[in-house]
Amino acid sequence: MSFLSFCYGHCGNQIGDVLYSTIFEDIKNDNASLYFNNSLKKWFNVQRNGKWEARCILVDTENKVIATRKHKIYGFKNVVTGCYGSSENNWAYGYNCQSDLVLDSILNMVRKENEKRHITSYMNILSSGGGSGSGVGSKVIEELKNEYPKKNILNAVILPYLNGDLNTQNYNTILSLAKLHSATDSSVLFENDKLYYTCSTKLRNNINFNDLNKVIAFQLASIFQPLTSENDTFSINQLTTHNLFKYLQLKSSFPSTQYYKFESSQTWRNKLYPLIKQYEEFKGFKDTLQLKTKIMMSAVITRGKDKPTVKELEWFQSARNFVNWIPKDYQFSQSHESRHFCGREKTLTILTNDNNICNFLNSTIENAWKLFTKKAYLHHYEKHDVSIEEFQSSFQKMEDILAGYSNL
Amino acid sequence: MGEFIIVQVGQCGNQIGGSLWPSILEEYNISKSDHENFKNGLINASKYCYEIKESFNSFFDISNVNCNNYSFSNLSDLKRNKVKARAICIDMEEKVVSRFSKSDLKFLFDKKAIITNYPGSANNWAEGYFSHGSKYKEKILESIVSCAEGCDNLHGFVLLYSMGGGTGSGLGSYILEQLEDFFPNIDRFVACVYSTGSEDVITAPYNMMLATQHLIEYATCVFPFENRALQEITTRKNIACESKFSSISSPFEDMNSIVVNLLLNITSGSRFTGQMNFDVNAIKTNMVPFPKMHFLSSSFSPIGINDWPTVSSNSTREKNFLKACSKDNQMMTFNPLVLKFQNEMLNFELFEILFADVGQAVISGMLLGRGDYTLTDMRKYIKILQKKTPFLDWSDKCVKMGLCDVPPVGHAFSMLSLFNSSSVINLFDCMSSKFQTLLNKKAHTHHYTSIEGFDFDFFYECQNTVADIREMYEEIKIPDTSTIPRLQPNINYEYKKFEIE
Ligand SMILES: Nc1nc2c(ncn2[C@@H]2O[C@H](COP(=O)(O)OP(=O)(O)O)[C@@H](O)[C@H]2O)c(=O)[nH]1
Ligand SMILES: Nc1nc2c(ncn2[C@@H]2O[C@H](COP(=O)(O)OP(=O)(O)O)[C@@H](O)[C@H]2O)c(=O)[nH]1
Ligand SMILES: [Mg+2]
Ligand SMILES: [Mg+2]
Repeated sequence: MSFLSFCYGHCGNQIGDVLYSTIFEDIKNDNASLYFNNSLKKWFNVQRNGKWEARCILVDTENKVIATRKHKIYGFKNVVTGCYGSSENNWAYGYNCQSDLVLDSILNMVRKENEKRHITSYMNILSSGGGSGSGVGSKVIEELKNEYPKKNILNAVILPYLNGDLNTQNYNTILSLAKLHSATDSSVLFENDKLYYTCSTKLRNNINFNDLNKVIAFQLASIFQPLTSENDTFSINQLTTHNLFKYLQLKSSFPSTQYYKFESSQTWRNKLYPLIKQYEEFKGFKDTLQLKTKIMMSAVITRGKDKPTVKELEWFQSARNFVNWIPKDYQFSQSHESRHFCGREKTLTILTNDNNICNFLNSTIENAWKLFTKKAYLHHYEKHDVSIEEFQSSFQKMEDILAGYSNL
Repeated sequence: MGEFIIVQVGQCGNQIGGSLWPSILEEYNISKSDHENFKNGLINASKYCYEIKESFNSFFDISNVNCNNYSFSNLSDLKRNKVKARAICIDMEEKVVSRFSKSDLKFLFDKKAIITNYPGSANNWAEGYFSHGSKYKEKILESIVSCAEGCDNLHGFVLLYSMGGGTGSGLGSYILEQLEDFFPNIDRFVACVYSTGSEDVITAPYNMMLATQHLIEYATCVFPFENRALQEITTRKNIACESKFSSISSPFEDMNSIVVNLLLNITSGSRFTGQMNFDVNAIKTNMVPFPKMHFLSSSFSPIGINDWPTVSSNSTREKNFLKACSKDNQMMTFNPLVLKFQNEMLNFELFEILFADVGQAVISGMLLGRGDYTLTDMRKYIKILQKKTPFLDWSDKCVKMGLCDVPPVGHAFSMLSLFNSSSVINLFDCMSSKFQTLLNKKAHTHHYTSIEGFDFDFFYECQNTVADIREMYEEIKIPDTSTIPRLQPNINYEYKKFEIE
């Protein structure tokens, strides 16, 4: 298992940085165990001089984030930034113009990485609301799929705050999600609102993006770090076999929510309980429809001493929160790694393909549609060759996905 | 980092430029001589030396520096390395620009980049636009092109001029138009001074209307500064700007320092790092939902000495945000925080008084927190804005936030706010009515029509253009309750089948 990661735009690069340092921290004091070796192989190239190099391509159209990366024991060699200026928070500009400037060099680097070793998966990290990550990212991902149709491509997409952090975020989100849905099989979605909420229940003080990014990095690493037991062949594609339902969400036992005080009693049940509670308390709305959590597929990944017992995970056997048209065997899988993760005795992460994303999708479509029917901001997109028709087909696609999830 | 070319035109433009360059040097922590120990810059100097150094090229051409590991700490370093300001100084009289050549900073300005003439434009837009425009076209373009060639990644032109005079207003309009022609893909930001409140030029209404027409047609974004607003702020707040560099001094110094600080704030996101991008190029995408509606009210805080908070805490930062959004700090007539919180609405009377002010509609907003501001702060302020600012039904989510690591010199934090609102109608109306009064009497029109190239119809044309854009801002205020239903999903519900691949 080897990953090639791609960080796009301001957000993607900030998160990529935290992700790599999380991984590095996790393994740095290990003594060449199997876990260590697998992890190293998965994320790094080891150069002849022994230096580690992140197997990661950093893509940005301006060099602000990347330039300030003063490193570290490991390096980032593959950097594609032009100092072209930002993508103006405009998906169209990123997708149709800025991408031209970087595409060739990115594809070249990918070819070189593929020559070095067998790469199993491409992981893309980007935000959907901006211009570079969202626009340039969509274009590059489409090209990757064209050139490497058999490779496993997955995305980690950061979704904007619903009540606004930039004015064109809903257009950019609709356009990029629609493209990614056609081009790739799985996207792990992170809602900034939810991440912020998670942090606010834990940190009393002021929160910054870096705190959100630590949560994202922790969750991603907790599913992608090696699983060394032989019969574990977990791949997130197991959860996205249906071609309408490609969205996954993560919940994990750290940073703990308000149940932090239970952390001293290190039982799986206590780790699991607050996460399950979030599923049970979910209330969704679509028109007059009231939604309760419906899960299509799920996976639980545990790291630490003692594999959880069947009894401890019995919630995943309950029919109430699962759809009834998928055989039980396929709805739930469990993986365990006995090594601790990031110095924590027990870590539990749940990965699900479920309808909790409906609220975000519905509000985003609603807000974008309001602007669209007023023709607001459209001239910026038309200027860079995104037509009304393209908007309409993206809206259609997103309405379809929403309808699918809300009728699970 | 991205580069900017500052084009300063006319007396006002060059006077503003005259305070801009010393402030830029201070921001980059350049001292006057070797022996001076800096006091203000100290906070920034140690903490942000990396960021500050990395963005030095934004305003300065350092292509003559021949080692990679440069560092500049005083004027003689700059001089030795032949550092040049990315500035074009144009005036049709010598008076102001010649003061540059007597200042400490004279060596920063390339000879080619200084264009002067005698004897000025007689406060006549037509003279600036037609007479000087055609005469100096080649020379001006040549110096702009050569300046642009020295940039790796030109983010934009920043034009500085007054609307009421002749040179800035007329020749400034001409240059703006030429830039659109020669550099169609480079943004053109105009910081322009409207003479409202300082009625010292009789023909100002003509000049302002003609120049506004050009702003509507050729600018990417306009930041209007009403002299009335600048005056009010300077009398209310103790600006007391003092600079360690001798540059151009003028009676407008305090007023101009406000303009200068606003420009430094606006460009800070492109020059310095931050957790959440705020690139000047993104301003147009975020702030201009419809073509040509690009007149932005701007403000920032702290402005004067009285405003300087001593400590940084959640509450001082919030107070500072409220100031930045208060009507007292706006560069034109506008009140972003009209609606009071629900629980403050004690009785109906108060309610009505407050809503009397609501004759304005806000179509977009933007907040940039610099220095200590956190994500938590910004999320809170966006909520406050969404409660108190008269956004429209469709625009209430249109708030862009930005975070920039480096605060202004001597401060721990600062807040910049931008709004696009229908209150710009006040400015258009005030200008149009004075214009109409003059035009009815045909007062002074012969000065314009006697200039080769100027046609009397130009008066009517600019009037129509301004009326059209005014109408667009008026229309958005009309609540539109018609909604177009969303698209129907188009999926086959037989999807609920499980297939194993
Ligand atoms: N979680 C998280 N979200 C971010 C971060 N930086 C930006 N964002 C989000 O990303 C969106 C802006 O996109 P950005 O990546 O800055 O633009 P780009 O550089 O043009 O791709 C907004 O929705 C932000 O909330 C970050 O470091 N962490
Ligand atoms: N804020 C400000 N306004 C100025 C300044 N100089 C002139 N003005 C105003 O600008 C108008 C005259 O324009 P001026 O710049 O002198 O004309 P020009 O030299 O022909 O472009 C008058 O309304 C002045 O009040 C200045 O330095 N700052
Ligand atoms: Mg003059
Ligand atoms: Mg004058």
